[in-house]
Amino acid sequence: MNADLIGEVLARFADHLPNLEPQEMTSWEEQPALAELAQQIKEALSPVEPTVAFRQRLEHELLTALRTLAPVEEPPSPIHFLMTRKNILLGTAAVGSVASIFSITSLIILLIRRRLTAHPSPQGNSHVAL
Amino acid sequence: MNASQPHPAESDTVLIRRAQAGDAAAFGALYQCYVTAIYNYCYQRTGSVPDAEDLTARTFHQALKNLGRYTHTGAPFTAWLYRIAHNLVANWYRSQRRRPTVPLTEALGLAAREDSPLAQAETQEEYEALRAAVRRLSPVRQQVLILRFSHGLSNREIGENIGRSEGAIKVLVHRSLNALREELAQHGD
Repeated sequence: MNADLIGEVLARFADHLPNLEPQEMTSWEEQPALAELAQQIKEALSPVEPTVAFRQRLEHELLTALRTLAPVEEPPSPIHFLMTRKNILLGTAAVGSVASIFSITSLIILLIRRRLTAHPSPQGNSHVAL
Repeated sequence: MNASQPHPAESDTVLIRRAQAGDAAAFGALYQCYVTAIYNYCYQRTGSVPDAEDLTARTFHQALKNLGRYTHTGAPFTAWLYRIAHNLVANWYRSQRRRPTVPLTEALGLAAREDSPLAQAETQEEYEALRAAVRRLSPVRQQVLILRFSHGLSNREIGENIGRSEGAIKVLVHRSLNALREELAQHGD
């Protein structure tokens, strides 16, 4: 039983909880003093309505605001942003890797060519001698 | 909001979905349906017509601004509107730092009475004392009393609107009435 369910059960049976005042065990409608007070509140807090001018003015303001808001462009979702960021990182890493491999390969080729130039093979020498 | 108000032919859920898509007519229908309830709530909390109008306008502007984020959770749409209004009223109290009073000319429900002017004035004073006492209660007690006795909502409807069970509202109404009676006694009203 989770906390929400316990809370709901306690609230539903709140009338019977032991810490309530004795008079709360009965409905306030059955207590003349409270019922009379409730009637006075009803009269004192009689519903009021806004003026027609106010209603119309506010409605006009709201509809004008709604038209300026619509159509609302959906902001990019966090997932979309993360996916974009991930793609940028992956792309950068891939380009970096290719550049590194190209650099290393070029360096190796350059070193081999230098070595061949510095230490020519016997076959190469005989060819030169010829 | 309450039973006396006209309800749109379409359900709130459909209207909200259409309003979220930018349908001005749908938002207009929601506004027409609930503006009186929100205005009444703001007025009963502040006791001032200009402040009630300002708070009502801010409630609906905020609702419009955040409508895209509204998700139906099973509670009525009014619960969301009341929560916005309740928070704005709380901010209003914090910023005003005052106990508003209602001018006698704004006293309610007396125009049709046939009592003598003196009796009317006495009744107005009694009502004003009662309204002032209600506004000295805690915000949640004010809210419950206004929804119960001014808006005429049942305990179940109040519970749906403020996220409490029907039993809890029943106890809260009872305690609010007792607190109000004590408040009136303390202030010699």
